[in-house]
Amino acid sequence: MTFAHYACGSYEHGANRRRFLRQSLSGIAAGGAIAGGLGSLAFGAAAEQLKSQDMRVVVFNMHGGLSQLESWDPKPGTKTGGPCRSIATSVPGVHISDLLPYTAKQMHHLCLMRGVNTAEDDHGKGAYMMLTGRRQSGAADYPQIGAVAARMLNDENRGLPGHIVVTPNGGGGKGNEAAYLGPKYASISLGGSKPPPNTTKPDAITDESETRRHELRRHINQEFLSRRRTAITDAYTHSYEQALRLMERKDVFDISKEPVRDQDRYGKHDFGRQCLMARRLLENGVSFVQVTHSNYDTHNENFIFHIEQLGEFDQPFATLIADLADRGLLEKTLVVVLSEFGRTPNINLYYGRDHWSKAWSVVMAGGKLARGAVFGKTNDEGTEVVDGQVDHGALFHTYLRAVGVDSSQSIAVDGRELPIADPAAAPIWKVLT
Amino acid sequence: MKTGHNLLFRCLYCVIAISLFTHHLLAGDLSKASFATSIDALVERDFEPFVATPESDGPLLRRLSLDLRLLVPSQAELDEFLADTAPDRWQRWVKRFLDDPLHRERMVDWLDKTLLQRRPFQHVDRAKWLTYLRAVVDARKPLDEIVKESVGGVWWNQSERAQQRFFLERSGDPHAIARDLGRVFFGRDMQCAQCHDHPQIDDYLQIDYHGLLAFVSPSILVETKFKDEKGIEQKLQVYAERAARDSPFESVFDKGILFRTGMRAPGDCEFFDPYEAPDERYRAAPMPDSLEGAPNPPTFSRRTKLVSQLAGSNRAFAENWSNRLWALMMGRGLVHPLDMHHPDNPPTNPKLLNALTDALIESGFDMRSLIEQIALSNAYQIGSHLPIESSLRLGAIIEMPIELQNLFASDLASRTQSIKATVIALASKADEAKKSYADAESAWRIAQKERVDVWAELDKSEAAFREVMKKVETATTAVEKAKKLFTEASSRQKLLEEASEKLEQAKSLGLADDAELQQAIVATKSKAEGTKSTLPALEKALADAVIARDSNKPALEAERSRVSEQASKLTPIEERLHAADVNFVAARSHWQKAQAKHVVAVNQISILSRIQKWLETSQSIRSLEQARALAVQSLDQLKSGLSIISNDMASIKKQLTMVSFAKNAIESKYDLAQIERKDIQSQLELLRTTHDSLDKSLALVKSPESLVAAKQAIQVAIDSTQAAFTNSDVLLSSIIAELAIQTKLAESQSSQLVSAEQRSLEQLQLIGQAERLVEIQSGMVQQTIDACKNAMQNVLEERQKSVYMAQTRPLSPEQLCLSILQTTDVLKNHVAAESAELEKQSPLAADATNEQRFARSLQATRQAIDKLRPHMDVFANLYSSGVGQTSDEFFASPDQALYMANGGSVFQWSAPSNSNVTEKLVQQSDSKIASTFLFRSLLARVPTSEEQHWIGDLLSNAGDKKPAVAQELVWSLLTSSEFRIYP
Repeated sequence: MTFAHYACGSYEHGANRRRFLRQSLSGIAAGGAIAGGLGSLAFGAAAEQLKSQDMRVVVFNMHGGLSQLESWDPKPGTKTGGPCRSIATSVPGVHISDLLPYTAKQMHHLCLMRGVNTAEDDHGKGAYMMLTGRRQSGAADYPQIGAVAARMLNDENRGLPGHIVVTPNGGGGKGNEAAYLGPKYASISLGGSKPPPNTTKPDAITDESETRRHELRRHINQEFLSRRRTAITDAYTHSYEQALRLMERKDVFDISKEPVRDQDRYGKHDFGRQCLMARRLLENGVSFVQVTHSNYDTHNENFIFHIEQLGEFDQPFATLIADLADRGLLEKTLVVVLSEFGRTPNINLYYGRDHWSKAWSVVMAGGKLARGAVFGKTNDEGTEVVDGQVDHGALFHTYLRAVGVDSSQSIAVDGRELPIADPAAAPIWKVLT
Repeated sequence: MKTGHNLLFRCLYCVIAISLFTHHLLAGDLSKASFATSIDALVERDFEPFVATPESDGPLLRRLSLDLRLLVPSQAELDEFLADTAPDRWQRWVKRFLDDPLHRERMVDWLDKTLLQRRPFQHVDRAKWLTYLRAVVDARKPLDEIVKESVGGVWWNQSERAQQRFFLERSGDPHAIARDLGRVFFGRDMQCAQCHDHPQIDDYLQIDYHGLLAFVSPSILVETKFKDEKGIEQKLQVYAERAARDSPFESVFDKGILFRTGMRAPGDCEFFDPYEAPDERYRAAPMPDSLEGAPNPPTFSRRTKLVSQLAGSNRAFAENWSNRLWALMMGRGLVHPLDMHHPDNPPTNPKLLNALTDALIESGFDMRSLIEQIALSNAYQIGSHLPIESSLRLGAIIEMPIELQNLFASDLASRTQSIKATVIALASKADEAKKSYADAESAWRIAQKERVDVWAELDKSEAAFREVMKKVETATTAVEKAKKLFTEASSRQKLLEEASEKLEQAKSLGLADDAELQQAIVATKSKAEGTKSTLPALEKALADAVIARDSNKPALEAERSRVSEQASKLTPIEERLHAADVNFVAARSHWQKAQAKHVVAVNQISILSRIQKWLETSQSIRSLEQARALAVQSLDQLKSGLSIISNDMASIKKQLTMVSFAKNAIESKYDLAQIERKDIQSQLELLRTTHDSLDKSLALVKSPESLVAAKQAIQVAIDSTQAAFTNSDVLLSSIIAELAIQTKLAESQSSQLVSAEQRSLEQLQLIGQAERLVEIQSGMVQQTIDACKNAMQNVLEERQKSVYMAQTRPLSPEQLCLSILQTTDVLKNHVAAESAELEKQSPLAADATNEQRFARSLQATRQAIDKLRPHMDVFANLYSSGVGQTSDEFFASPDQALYMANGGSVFQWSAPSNSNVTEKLVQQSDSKIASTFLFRSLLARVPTSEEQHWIGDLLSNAGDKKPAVAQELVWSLLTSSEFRIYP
């Protein structure tokens, strides 16, 4: 990356100005992170390099607390096992719950983490830990994985937002998940095939007027930037070009553009549509997509609920994994299935399972992760981790490493060096290739 | 030698000082000998090479207006300012903006963001909060008072509800509050010191964090009830204070030593709570007007203690606020980030911060006077983009004579050398200070440990005390209950007796035979008797309860004396601890100062070395340029050599062509001669054949005469043909000889050509080499130029941090929104509408005082702002850093741009209407006037001639689309980078 030529009254001035104009028109002006102010420009080089590798993340948030016993770590025939059985998978010797028959056929792509212990049984706190890799504290706030991924992976020149949460109906404004990374990396909530807000030109503005006002804007900026160019002015000017590009690419958010056959394969229900949307976004290079599946908080009738919920989850999820693999995207895409915690091995009086964070499972796939792997083990009744215990901090580091991000690095924000992952934790190297 | 280059260095180091004096010194109110002058004295002393010129008038007014009023000046104001030539112009305009209703809103905005950091309104509604802040600003309440109200105010009723927001909107989380006490009030973000001493910052200790936490950790959110105006019961959370020792002290494990800490504000010693026995810690009666369910406050309030500490001598507190006010005006604190004050990040100009702090304290924490003085200083009026367009451009050094360059370099070197010597001295001083600091700290930690042991004992005694206290409380409750039963029974008996007496009286008045009445009398009497009979038992029960209660009292007193005996052990230990603490704090402060001085000097060196780096690279550009010129020269020579060779080759080629032409001609001659020879030969052969056949015929014929004659004739022909044949042979051989000559000539020329081609190839190779050399040299020059720019950029970035000038910075979301509303006349129209409405409701008297008029305009402005607030909220949502951030970091995202382009009203506001800027643009037929007007209105500057030109063309060619084009123009200026940032 060459030194950004800001207006500095030099005799090289004219040439630089022309060079800048060319760059800005082709959209490659002074790349990288502006959020940290002028000082953070140096960060650009490493980030650009990483962005060129084009990695992505999709997170399935199994809201409420997915039962590990009815999914990734079944214990059939024990007193905690419940009525569900286990089935063989595409990886010899690895069995998962019979509620996930389609997913079982994709096991050779997956990496099961069966030794998760997060020691936090509160929904809010558990969710916070799983998404930020840290324990919540009144005195500090940490960015979620989506914000970190957007910051580290998103190529702004694609003109697409880097952090998208897909919900059944979309809506909602910007979230506040980015903490100190700044709202630039906060999520945009999408759903119902609607593009992000304000991406349609108001009818009152004619095409002619639209073209002209942007030309005028560029012209006025050119004049000014030739005299006073800073990282701030670059970023601000660039954001308007990004906006125009986003308007051009609105179709990315429209899953009716997907083949009818695929719409059928994923299913017409909300979750199927969300998975198809996720595939479409990932294929178009969006760096982070989160899909939430609700609700697994089964204090009553755990088994009926899981049959119903996983019945909806299984096929679209397996289809997405298979599609990503077929299209060569799994290499570039980390898939994570997480919850705020697991559920108790003990079955309560209402055939329910309660909150259980001592021994549960998280599933990952893709990126630099080992394929068809199982890491960690619980005891026969699933009450404790007996091997390969990991926690939210280690998982968070691993997510980042799986997409080629050095999780030990810090980001400079307003003069503070902030580690992107908890420095007290480390990646799970054994599942990384 | 001094005089020679003194002048130069004056230029290099002090360009600004000169221009500043000529520009604004006259403008100052000399009679006032203001603090602004002191600021400049401190700033100028520190001037170094990279200095700016004063900002030009338009942008300067734009900056002042944004800083003091949250929006850009109106076109009318700008015109008036530019036309104002009075010597005290600047002073009057500063005052004028300070007196503007919008200045009050500016301060409301600043207080709001500083104290609450854009937290949502969960506990106190927005109107109440705004009303409070506006009242505070209207009353010109001292800043320290405002801060104190927010931490030490009344919490048990709603009288100071708005002030409680600082606590309430942080959900009463002691850690969130402790962190923000550090950040907002003391300029120290110590969140990382919560669990251990700060890993990166030496000076942020865990005890500092917990010292702040101790002020609020006994507080807790409590739900209370009250009846609203309609008499409906409402619930309300209050941040109730509890007695300190009732909530556990934070304990932290530090290298095997368990310790607890009390209240401690940055730079102060620990404060000890007075010891009170567990049953003496709360006020006996509720506070007046307490909400239902609000607990009684403790007898000793740590929150009040915090207030008195803030009111007292805490230097860090005052420094923090003077730094924040400086940053409000200059865009960057002398300490930056604002909440990272520690010796390794000292103020860039410690003396200046000191002076500002003294001035703030002296003014009684009056925000307005400090802001005014900063605005009046020359430092404020310097261009924010100073180094970029200043006299010291990249080229300056290169264009400078070499001996002056060397002088500059040696001056730089000697400065660096002398600072280096200072740094070494300062480093060793800091080291020494650190050692005595470490000693003092360990002495303090030992005393601290002693107290921990006493506390542990005290905890045990308190536990025993509480056991008895609990019994006493239970017995007291029993007494209350027995007393209640007895009192009720006695009253009941008395009332029944009175009733039966009254009934008797009624009976005697004409109802003697009434059976029902008689029945009632009997029943009442019997009830009275019945009640009476229970009285003795109840009385006894009461007496027993009292005895039972009192029997516990000696035990309680015994425990009390044990506790107080144990507590009395605290006093000598606390005295020792305090003595150690005094040393500890003094040694620490000594080290802090020494370390800060050291760091400031190190930073100076780093700046100087960056300047040196820049100078060196600048100088090397010159020698590299020379090398490149030489390379270019030799390349040129080679090229001219090549052209000589090429000329030679051309002439050889020409000759060669001529030779081959000649050769061709000879060859065709030869061919002709050959043909002729063949003809002659065949003729000769024919003749000979004829001759031979005549000979044969002669032998056969009798009269051969005619034949003989024929034979003779043929012989003659043969002879002549033979001669011709011989001739042609001669000719042919002469042609062959000629051809041989030409062939030889061609051969020699060809070989000449080959050698010339060879030479040309060699020359080309040389040229290639030379060209590569030139390329490399040019690359080196370019690289060095880039490196030089990089070095320049480094210097500038460093200087931007420490040079005291307003910073280039983006407008805040509120400034951006209000500036757009101002520029498009939307705000003006709103204010006018509110004014008209107020006037309709209560017309202002013709002889209304200035105060009344101001109050009316203030009210109209505030009402207008409140109506426009939804727009400001949208901007805040899009452009701010969000909740809980210390400042709005700049970021640009497509959703902001999409809003400006498609979502919001910005394009709509840009449409021509009434007499707004767009309408005026449409009406103005002189395109030059129009473009000047447009730029002045939106950017507070005149357009460049280029801008004037193309905008003029655009407008005059627009025809009937002029209104649309004007609207697009205004929109494009509103969305330009220039509008987005400070001038």
